[in-house]
Amino acid sequence: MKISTSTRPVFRVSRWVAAVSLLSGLAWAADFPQRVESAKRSAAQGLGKAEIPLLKRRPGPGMSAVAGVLARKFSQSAAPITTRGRSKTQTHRNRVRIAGDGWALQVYGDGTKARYRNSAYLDRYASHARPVGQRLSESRLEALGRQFIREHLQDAVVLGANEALVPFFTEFQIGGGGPTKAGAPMIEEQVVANTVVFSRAVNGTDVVGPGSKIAITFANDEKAVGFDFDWPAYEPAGKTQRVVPLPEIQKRLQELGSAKTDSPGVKVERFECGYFDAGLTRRDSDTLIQAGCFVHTSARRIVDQAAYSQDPSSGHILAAFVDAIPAGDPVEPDKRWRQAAKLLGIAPTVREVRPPERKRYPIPKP
Amino acid sequence: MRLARQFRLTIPFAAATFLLATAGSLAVARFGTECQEDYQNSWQDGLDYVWERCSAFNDELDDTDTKVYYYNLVGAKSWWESANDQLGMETVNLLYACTHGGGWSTKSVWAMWDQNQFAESPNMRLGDESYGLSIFSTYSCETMKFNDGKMWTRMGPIMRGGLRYATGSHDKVYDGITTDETGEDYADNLQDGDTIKYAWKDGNSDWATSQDITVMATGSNKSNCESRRDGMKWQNYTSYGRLRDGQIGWYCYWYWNNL
Repeated sequence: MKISTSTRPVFRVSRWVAAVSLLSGLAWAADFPQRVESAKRSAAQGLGKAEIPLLKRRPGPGMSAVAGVLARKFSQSAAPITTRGRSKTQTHRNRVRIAGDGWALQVYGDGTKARYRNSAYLDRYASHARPVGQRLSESRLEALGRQFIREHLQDAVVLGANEALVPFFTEFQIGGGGPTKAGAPMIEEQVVANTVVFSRAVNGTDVVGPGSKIAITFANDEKAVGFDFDWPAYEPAGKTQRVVPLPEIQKRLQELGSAKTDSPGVKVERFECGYFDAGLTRRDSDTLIQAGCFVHTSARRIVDQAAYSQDPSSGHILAAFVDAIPAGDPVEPDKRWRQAAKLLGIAPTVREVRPPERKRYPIPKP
Repeated sequence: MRLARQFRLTIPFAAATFLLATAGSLAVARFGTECQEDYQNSWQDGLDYVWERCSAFNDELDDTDTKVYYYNLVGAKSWWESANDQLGMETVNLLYACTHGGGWSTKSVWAMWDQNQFAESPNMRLGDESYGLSIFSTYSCETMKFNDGKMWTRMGPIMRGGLRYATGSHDKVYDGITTDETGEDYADNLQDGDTIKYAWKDGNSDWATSQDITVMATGSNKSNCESRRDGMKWQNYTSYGRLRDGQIGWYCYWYWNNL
């Protein structure tokens, strides 16, 4: 059942905004200051602009062309990011994969999205794991990431006029474990990979969602071992979109979001507004890049009151949702974006097969 | 004459042996998928993108392997637990499932469609019946939680049956527009020959959604565990022998976290 917010007391909106602000400040130590500021602005003002110029994506040169360029670029590299030696190329419906000895390069669709991994190097280097407290710092990762992009991805990651590369967050691959003996302690956790993620701002407005993201992964020796980018070139679409104020965005979130943010046990984990780009493989290629808020929520539901009463860390089910809420008016049509389609009253494109109930038939023996 | 006869007998035998060995390593594997998008009387929040995630996983992986079943979680508790798992999960090599989850002090739980029903890890033991499940992949929150030091308490009962690998989340994995292709991407990565750890990690990441990804394996000791955790692929997992009960001396995991 959808709850209309039109008659809801204003104090609920205020409480919600305060809760989002508090969470943004506390929960995300990995976020760069720019992301923290953006989250605060989103919680207080939404996009913080009355209107934005709509953008359109310039189609890329194609996955085969970009794969060829990247493969040639790294073909002589003695560094872990390399395409040296023998390799095999496979072309799938929507991606090209070039794989060599322990490494793989994949380029998708029109060539604006790619992924490279040298997992063999990372695995070999795992013996140089270090305690979590000694992981590469945020500032060091930002510097290393910017340097790598400047030196190696300048052709693929192009910044247009009035665009900025914005450090977004850091992520780490961490290993642990322990003896299975009852009561045995876990071993100290160790870091083996350090990733820095960048996003983009256009005319000071952040791009939220998987589009406009670059991630560079470094081993502990500070050598890059992998990268991802989903980075189309944007250009003005020649028209502007009015941005709805925060209370209207919040109303849309209540109506279109997966969890009601004012119901018990629900937390807004992230609330980030800007241009929404769903990423290459999820974009409706005919639509424009428009205003939206990217919202992470979680819901902790108590399902076993007795277990919960005995131990507050038990008795629950945890749910997590990420919703993209349109923040423009009028909303531009986008069949792949369910919330946008719903606001416009059009049927979204959904490709799914619903499973049946289990049948009780005899299973063949192995 | 004797030599010629021996030659005639030996060559076909050797060829047959080679073919059998090759067939073993390239064998088409069996997988099953169990997913739930809505719940009886809305006892849990709906997960609007589950059918897309799961059907895309099926579409991709059944290009190379055999989809044995695709079911929802109506009345599924007993099929997940030891009562009937020999007729469910144990009939496939890999299980992919999407539903809500939870990590309690003494157990991991997965929500079923039926109101107030969840599969509970102490009632689960996988890998020792029928074909024997090898890889247990659940897109569910918190079931592979470790930060309270009780991961083995929760997951041990499942792994002790000889299950080779588990993939999941130590905290949150999100349902939404940007994660509806995570099943397809996981299947792609498995088919490409990525190690299971990176197939799961890369399949579930998009650098915008704050996914908390975890994988785990078991070993006789630390180095054995890490070798199994880091080396297993969809193409080679059978070359890692099953470890059961007292053979398991160590558990090990990777996770990826925003820090």
